[in-house]
Amino acid sequence: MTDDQALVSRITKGDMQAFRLLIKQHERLVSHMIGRLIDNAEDREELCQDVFLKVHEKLSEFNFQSRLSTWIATIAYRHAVNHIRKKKIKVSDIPDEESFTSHFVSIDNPEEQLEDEDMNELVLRFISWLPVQYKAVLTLYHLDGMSYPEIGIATGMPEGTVKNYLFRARALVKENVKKYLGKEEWL
Amino acid sequence: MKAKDEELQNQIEKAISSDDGVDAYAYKIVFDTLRKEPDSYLSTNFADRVVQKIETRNESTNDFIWFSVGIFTFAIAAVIAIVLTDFKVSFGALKFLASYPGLFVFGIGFILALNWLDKKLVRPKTSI
Repeated sequence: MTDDQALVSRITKGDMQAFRLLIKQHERLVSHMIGRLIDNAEDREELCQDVFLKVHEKLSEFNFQSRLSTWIATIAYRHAVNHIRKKKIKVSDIPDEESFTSHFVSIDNPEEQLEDEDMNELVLRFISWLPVQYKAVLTLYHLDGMSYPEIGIATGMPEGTVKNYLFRARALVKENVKKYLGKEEWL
Repeated sequence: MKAKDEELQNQIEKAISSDDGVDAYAYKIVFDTLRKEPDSYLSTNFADRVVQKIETRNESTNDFIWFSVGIFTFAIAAVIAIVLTDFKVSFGALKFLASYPGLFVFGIGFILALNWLDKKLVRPKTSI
């Protein structure tokens, strides 16, 4: 029996101390996903709580077809997307590459609004402008160290789409950083 | 362009890039930020708060179960009492309703509509 199986078994028998341990083990993963996808800071902690309430409710149905962390990431991703839809924030379809690149990179004068922010905050701002699907893929890959197949399971995207979104998201952010660097040199 | 970007991304991810162009520099900045752990926004007692919510929910479920058992027991007791005492129920005072079925249905519908409006419009604004 793996650690995850033993932990799940204890929780389904009503051991709340074991569930506390599960939360401690996975709160970073959930907070990464919710933090990147949800702009409103006031909603984030409550959404993270809702994710773990759902985990507790559905844990007896978890069949170990994937890793426990992947299953929890799936719940967090769906929960964030549902919240965005409920708040009537448009979950944009991924537009075609050329039009989106020109729109994303032509955002006017980022350096004028962001001159006091350091480069890290500037890049985070560029990331926040990306579509939800891109942000989810970036977060799971870079912050949570998930593989392409695991990200595919968590987000319901085919593996090829995961790779493509990851590449395009990084390229789009890079283009904006490059534009900013280019303007910085002129100043 | 795409192939060059793909190669650059792969090299920078593996930290083996020798390119010193602006694209490589911009990618390094992007990758550094992506790998950086964000500040936590969860409270220090986050796990305790979730567990407390679950326990409160379980208590509410238990209360509901006991309430249902109480109602069921009361109904059984009422039936037994009626049978043992041969009690006859008289609806004489309510017989006039048979002449106004429309009014009766409207009354029930009106009360339900008021409750629905209260739940949708009034309570969300007054709840903390």
